[in-house]
Amino acid sequence: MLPEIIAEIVVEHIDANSDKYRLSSLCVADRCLVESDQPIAIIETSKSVFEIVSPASGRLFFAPGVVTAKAVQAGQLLAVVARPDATEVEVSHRWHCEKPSAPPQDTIVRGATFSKAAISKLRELGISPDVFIDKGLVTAADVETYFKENAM
Amino acid sequence: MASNVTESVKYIFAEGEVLRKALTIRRTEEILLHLCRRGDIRGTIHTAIGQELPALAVVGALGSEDWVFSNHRGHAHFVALTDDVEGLVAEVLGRRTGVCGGLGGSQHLQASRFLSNGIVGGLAPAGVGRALAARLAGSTAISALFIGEGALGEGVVYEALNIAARWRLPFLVVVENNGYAQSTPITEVLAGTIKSRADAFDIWYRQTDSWNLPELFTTATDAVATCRSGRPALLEICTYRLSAHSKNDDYRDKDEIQKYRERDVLSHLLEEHRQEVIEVDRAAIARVEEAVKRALKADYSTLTVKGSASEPVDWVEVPGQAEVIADSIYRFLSDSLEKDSRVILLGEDIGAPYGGAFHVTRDLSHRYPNRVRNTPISEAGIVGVGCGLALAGNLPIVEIMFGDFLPLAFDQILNHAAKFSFVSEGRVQVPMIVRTPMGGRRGYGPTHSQSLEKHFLGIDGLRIVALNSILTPYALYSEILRNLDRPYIVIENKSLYPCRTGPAPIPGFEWKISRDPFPVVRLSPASGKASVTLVCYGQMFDEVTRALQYAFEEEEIVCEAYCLSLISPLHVGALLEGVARTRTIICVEEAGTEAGFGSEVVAQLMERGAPLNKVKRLGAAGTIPAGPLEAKVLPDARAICEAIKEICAS
Repeated sequence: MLPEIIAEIVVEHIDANSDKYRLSSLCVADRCLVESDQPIAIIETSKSVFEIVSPASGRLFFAPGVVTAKAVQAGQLLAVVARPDATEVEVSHRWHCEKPSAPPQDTIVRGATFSKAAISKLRELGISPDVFIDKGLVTAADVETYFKENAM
Repeated sequence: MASNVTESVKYIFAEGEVLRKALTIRRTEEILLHLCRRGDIRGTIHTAIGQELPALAVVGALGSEDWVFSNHRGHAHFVALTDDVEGLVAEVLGRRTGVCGGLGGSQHLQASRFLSNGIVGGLAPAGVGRALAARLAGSTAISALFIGEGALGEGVVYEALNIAARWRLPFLVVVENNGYAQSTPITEVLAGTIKSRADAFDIWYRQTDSWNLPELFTTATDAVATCRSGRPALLEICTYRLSAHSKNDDYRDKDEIQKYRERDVLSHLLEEHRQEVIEVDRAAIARVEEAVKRALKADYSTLTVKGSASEPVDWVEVPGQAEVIADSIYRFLSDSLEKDSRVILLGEDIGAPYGGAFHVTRDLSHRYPNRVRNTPISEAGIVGVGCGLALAGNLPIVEIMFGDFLPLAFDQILNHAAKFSFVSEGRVQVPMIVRTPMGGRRGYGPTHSQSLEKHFLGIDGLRIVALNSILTPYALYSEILRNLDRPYIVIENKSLYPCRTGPAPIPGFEWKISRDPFPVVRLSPASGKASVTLVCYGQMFDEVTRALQYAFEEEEIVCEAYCLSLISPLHVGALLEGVARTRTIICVEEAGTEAGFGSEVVAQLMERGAPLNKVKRLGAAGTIPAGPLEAKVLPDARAICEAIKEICAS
């Protein structure tokens, strides 16, 4: 059987501080024809406004609940783009594999990835994650070492 | 069919060149059989004793641009076209001076406008492709395919006939009906009639035989002329081989053989008109004997097996271009069609408005109607026609709609596309790309979700490239097209089509690619050492990338990952340095692990002396079910992360 669905549109994790965004408006109607790169929705984070564009040309089907929703979640399936001649598609099936969950908001710093153990250690020792800006991979041992070296 | 011996004798005496060539073929075949019995020939031969005249009738009617596609019993066709007895004899004797340098042997002959091989019916679609090439070039050249009636049991012949008939191509099929498919009488294995097969495709059909020479030669001329007018044709020639199928395997009734020997025109001439043909016959024998003498003095063919050199790897920044993968492929196809008139696209449903099952080819057929063509559902035919187009100097890019259908074209890839260059000592090339969407994660079920490229790994003469989400397909495809001198299979994971290329920044990790035509992508810790090396290709790299992040975040395990673009032939040079540090490797693939990509990676690393302590292969756990259940079978980031934890704990 030939596939009907060409692409799916998933809400990306776009705000380091949050994974829930206000769905400001939908730019197109459900089941309409869209072009590649055409804006289909506007979402707002705490800091800015983002356009979500279609990755492909075809007929757009919003996921159940999206048309009336006020908010969307990072990782949520927003819509699918199907073949132009599609009339009904099964939108409920998710194909994307699990994306990494957003790290806790108070540990997002530029240029650093924290292990969970490191995050726990930061909290335990009361260290700001900002001290690890651009430090790359940060382990619990790195946090301990920082603590000892700075004799907090 | 009644023979007309008197008329045939008169005819052949009037056509002096036919007599000379016929006796030359006869004596060549007899002497080759003698050499076989003497042990001078390694391997087998399939002689055409008794079938010389059909070859001469058809080939004699051909023009100087027409092509001949023959089969395992091809000596008569070869000599009829080329008159190169010396090259044939040396080839069969395995000598360097042979027409294919001794590499092809009796069944695999290649000369200008001639190709034969040992796959019954296998060259049919290549013949169609060559005919298509002539049509596109505005030439009146035709392709003539010789098959036995036994080949009408092969499906690929019907795919070829269907395409030739539907596209009205100058394709002539000559069925030399000698009544036996090897040892089996044709009445046992062929249903219906040969004529009804031609009628089914609305193809011009005539029947003649090899005992009535005026009619044989006239009908052959008519068949060629019909083809040249732009209509496919099927010419059935009833004949009989007087020799065994190959060397000694003849279980036919001896009385039957004797009956046909008495009908055979050449045998009749040699017995009843000995004096009239003695000069020509002696000249033929002398020529063949001289050819044998010279060949026996020549060197045997040699073969240089190239090893893979170990070269230092240069790691450079990843080009920053981000493009939706399907768009990138479309752009490549579009630009290639615009810039090079030799580029031709074939495939099922690739024409607009459908534009391909994954909407890659889009509107290209509107813009290039002659060079972007919908085909019937005929995977073997599609690839075989691509071979024929490539033989004629075109650059075919054929699409196999789902990689799951690729096995239907396996023979055309393995025994044809990948071998033509070898048997011709590189004189013939098959610059063809076979594109195919592969893989799962769309819930399509067991026959639309597989990763079957592993079954094509290691085929000599073939290259396999797998797209990934880091490098733009435009760049990889452009690299292939720039140096296209052999067939390529390009694996396009279907789940990647809507993805944008380019590395997503991961703090603490750096992205690099090797400075190679088909780069290896590396994701490694920006500082410090990795403790596990992961190797993969295609869409799996996205899962591996996520797994690397999980592994660090959850267990503080630092890994590095490599994604190969060229997966066959496989070169592990870029992995050596990393593996030497970690000594721990996990190979991840979407196919099953047994006898697959990961096995080959590990084997090559071991052979290269890589100091491996821990090895793991991860792949599909079994047959891929439909729907969401496939997530239980296909490795994903979570499963890969678990494998990382396990190997570190072991």
